[in-house]
Amino acid sequence: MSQSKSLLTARNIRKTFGTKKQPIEVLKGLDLNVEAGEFVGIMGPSGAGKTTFMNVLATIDTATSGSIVIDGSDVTAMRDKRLSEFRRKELGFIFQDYNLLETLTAKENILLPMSLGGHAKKDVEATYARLANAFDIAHVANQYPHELSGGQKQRTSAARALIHEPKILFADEPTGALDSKSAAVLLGKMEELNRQNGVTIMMVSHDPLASSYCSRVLFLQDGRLYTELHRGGRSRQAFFNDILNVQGVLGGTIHEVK
Amino acid sequence: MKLSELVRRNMLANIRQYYLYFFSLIFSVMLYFIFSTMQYSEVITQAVSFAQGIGASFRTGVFFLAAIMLVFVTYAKSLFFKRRGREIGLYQLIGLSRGAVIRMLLIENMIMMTLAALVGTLLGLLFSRLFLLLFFEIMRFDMSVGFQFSTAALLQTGVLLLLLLVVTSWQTIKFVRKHTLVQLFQSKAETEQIREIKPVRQLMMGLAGILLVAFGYWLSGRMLNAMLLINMLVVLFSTVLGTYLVFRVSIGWLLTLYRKQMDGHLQFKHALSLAPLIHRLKSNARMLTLIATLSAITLTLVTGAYSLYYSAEEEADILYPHDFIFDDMANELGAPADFEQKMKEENLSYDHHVIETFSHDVTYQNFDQGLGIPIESNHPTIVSASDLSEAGVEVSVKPGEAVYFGGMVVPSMPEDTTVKLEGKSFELVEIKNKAALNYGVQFNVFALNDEDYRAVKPDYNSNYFTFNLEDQAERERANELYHDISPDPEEGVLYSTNVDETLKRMEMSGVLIFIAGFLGIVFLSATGSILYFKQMTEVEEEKGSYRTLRQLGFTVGNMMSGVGRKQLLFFAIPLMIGLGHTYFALKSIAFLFRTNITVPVIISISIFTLIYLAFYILSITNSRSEITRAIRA
Repeated sequence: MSQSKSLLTARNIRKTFGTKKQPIEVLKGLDLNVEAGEFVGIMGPSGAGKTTFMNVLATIDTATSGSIVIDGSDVTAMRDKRLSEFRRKELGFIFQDYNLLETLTAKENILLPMSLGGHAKKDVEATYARLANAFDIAHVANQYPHELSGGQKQRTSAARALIHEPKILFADEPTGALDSKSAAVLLGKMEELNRQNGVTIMMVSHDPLASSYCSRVLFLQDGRLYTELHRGGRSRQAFFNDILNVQGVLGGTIHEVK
Repeated sequence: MKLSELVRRNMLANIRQYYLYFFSLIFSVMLYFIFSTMQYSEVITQAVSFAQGIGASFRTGVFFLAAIMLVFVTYAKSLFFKRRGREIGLYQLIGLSRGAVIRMLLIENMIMMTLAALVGTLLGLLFSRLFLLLFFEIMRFDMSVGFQFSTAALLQTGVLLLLLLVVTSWQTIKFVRKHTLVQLFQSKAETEQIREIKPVRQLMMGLAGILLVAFGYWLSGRMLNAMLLINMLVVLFSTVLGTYLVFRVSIGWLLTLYRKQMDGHLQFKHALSLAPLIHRLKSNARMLTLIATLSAITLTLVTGAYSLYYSAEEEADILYPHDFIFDDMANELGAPADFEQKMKEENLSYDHHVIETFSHDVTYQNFDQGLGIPIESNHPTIVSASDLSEAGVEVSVKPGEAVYFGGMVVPSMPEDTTVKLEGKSFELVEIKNKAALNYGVQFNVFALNDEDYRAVKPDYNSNYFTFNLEDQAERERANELYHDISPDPEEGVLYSTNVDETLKRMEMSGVLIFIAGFLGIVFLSATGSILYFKQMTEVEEEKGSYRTLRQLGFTVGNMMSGVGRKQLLFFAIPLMIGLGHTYFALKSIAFLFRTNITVPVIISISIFTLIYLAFYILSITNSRSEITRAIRA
């Protein structure tokens, strides 16, 4: 992997929780390169540090040591205000429990990242229309989150994460609260966006089926990188089987094909 | 962990949420104790000549204070329970029985009440002397006041606190008993269901709210006619109902119109202010209506009391134009002569006049006293203009005309009004809202031109003997002499004097302004802190959203631009509506005030605004730190 094509580079990421006397090291020196247009999955047993790793990469959490460079900007050196701006402009997020604002309609939620101004309304509207169509939520634009199904909420959340055309989309267990059909729809849309529009995605999941949509899957164990799998030209089913095998070896929970 | 330990930790953990409530409680207990002390104060009884009325006024004040405190404490408590539902659920989840949870909360409540009671009473003891001094200052008494302590006041405060304790304890038991675990865990989430009303209904109700308030305002300026009482009720009803609809529908409707126009492209500050406000106002409509309406009543009362206080002297002069007045009956007993003799002995300089009058049946055309209630005939007193003028009540009447003393409202120039007596017609040219003879002597008086007077005068008359003094000190001395003369005023032969009436008015309005002023401050502080608690509860409920927003890359500053705006509106809207109500309420009763009320109105409005501003600032400051804390977690 050449340095020039790399969109995200993380070097020797460590994260320690707890007191100085009793430190608990969650991330024990992780390295990662993500190229533009990749769809990277992060897997591993509970407590392996998946979510912490992603939160650190996504600048929501700070690393105890190590450096993270996203598209040429060293985010570990950024101050909080600058970091917020960077997050708002360059990164997108999807959370397990959607995190939509209950008092806003679906459309208002989606447009939230643009709400501080500085964009032509026409352009925003065009991007919105494209995403609303892509995620099949245009018909619920004026409804409130509590009127939407889980799948619709998560697709709204995904549209919100992409409205400002971020460099990287971070997704933390996006299918965790969805039924399998809604999950398949969402993942299909994400894969489509990744393939057709070149959106770079990082996704944490414990679900091998969800991870099988990725182009590459990292396996963490105990705060370290255990191994990684590339999908290459293989079918999703074959990739899924590989993932299952690694998971079996990892000794985490063994999943059954749903 | 022992229960007592749990209680201790619990209270410490919640102290941030509680301290304002605690301060309010202390403040109210202090005021309550001071009011009770004054109610039973012997100093006041000795100093004030109309002590009975004053005792009653303080009793009323104490009663209202107790009512405000009761409502405030129970409302604040219920808000806290809403915030603490999850915590209470958690205790049960980890195996504490309901009984134990209740016991824990009761102990907590009791500790807080007891602390507030002790501190409040102590402060009350310290400050009661100060309040008494202030009171005497208002009453313009020159008195030295010692340390005040009254067992009765202490007892009365104890009774109130016991009542508060019982009510809140009952509230606690009810809350824990009534809610299942699941409900407790949902007690935050369930609060606000977002439901849109059908546009047509919203339009109609929204308009109805605005129209009802406007109609109430409009009618409030046109109440003075035969249907005064009905008008008042209609104004009250339409304004209160209108206010409720304005809070519940109209404001939300207007904001929604604006929001719809944005078509989803809400600015961030609006996303965090308009959108939540649209839903919050609806569920708070009843509380906000109560606050706006009661604030208006409070402000009107305070302004009224202030105006009465400053016009006490003028009012007494208008209703008691003669310093001392005797009638025929007193004259037969030799009272005026006795009084005159006493004044001469002390070398007081005075004017003495005899006013000749007679009473007669009179019929009217187009006549009312200013209340819009037509009067066709009655039995007034007739007096000649020159007699009155000589006695100090300046008036000039042309032949064929009449001037009426005793109007109820503003002085006016009637049109086409005629007064008929003894077959003669007089044109009524002026209605004065002052007394010709002292109030209590004859209030219903017509002045005629001298010739006309002589022409219609029957063969009977009654005379009034007046004494007026220039010098205030001499007048007060004369007042003492007046009360020394026989016959005894108790027998009802002698009338009340100008000096007596001035003093009485000053004292009554002084008490009124004192009580209304402090009750007003307590009331506005109570409503202000309720709005504040409400805001803090909302921040608590929205913590999840703030975390999300932080992850989406919004700073606390960004969030506060929206949250601050929402809170500003939340404080400003009831303030504005309250002020609007106050304005029209005062306008409709302006005729009662003989002084210009601009100054008191400005003072009360400023205090109202300042109190709310203080709570608003407190609210955004604490919201900022709560949000900062929430997004770090």
